[in-house]
Amino acid sequence: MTAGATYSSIATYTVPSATASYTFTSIPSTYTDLVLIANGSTAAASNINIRVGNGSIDATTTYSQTVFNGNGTSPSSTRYLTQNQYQVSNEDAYWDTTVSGLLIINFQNYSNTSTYKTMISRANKSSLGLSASVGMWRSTSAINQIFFGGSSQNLAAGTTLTLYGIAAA
Amino acid sequence: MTPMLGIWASQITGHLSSYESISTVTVGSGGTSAINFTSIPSTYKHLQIRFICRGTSGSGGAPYYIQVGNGSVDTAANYSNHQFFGDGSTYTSSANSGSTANCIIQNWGGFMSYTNTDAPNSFGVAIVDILDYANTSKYKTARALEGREGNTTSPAGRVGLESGSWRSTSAIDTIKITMDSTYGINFAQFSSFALYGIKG
Repeated sequence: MTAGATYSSIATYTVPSATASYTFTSIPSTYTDLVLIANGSTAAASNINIRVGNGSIDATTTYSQTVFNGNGTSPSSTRYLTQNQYQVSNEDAYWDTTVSGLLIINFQNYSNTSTYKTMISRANKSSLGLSASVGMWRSTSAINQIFFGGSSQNLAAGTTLTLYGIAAA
Repeated sequence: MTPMLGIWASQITGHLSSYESISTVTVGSGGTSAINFTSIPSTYKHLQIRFICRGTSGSGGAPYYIQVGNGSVDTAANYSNHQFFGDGSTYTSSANSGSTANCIIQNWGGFMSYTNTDAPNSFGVAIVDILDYANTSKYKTARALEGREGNTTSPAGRVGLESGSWRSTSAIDTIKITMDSTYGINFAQFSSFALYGIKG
């Protein structure tokens, strides 16, 4: 019944010098879920934006998200509707120049063409706080591109992005 | 082989070759009332269930339940669980402990799935880890990262974390996932549930 090893590295990128963003392209549709793990920092305080697309990155207002934050003092929850990005490190876990931020972003059933795409993520920043976030891209298109970028600052050199694919039996 | 950071989704360390697909169920037209994984081999260290789901009717969203067992699903009050979540404006923590819980993951306060009258085409998602599931010396613990998002304020999106326990030392070889029976609804078409095993 088992299908053998199924958690595969698709691509890894290390930012060579400060840059605004990186885009994974030509992501194969052969997996069920994608997992993007990012570890890094930005030139100054900045949120991290995720955008996705099919053939090209969709930067229109087709995204929304709900966030749950904790910063060691008080939890909070925020929603952002009709956005042009899924912001995975906002509020209590944004990136900056100090401690590296860690993001784990799951793209569930990313290649099916019947449902909108739901993403769920965790953001961890030991010097600030942490958050859990669920986001949606209102499209039934398969995702084959993922944009990762700072919302207001460049990604710092040494930031690593690793994309994995998980294939269900 | 380099330790596999990808399993940080579950925050379990491992290797690429240690994560295997066991079984997948995708709901067809007409929906289904329950997802059953049976005869789960005991050869892994941990299990992970990754799914998207949606209810067939109603409004306001619906919670899903996960029960486990050995040979058959345990429906008795041998479980406890805690959760906390945010809905975009408020945050809540709730619990079913003591003798009140009859499932290991019970997101009754979370309402992590939309229904067919809510945001079109929007599905809730969850990643559930069941740790050391085949160990016969200790009770079983599970945890979940779960959420729904529909670009709506009513019903609102929700995102949460949950933990649960099954007070049994039996190995888990059966998992059942259902919608909360009090809602009288099924999983809708395109809901999809994938069970994976992670070797130790």
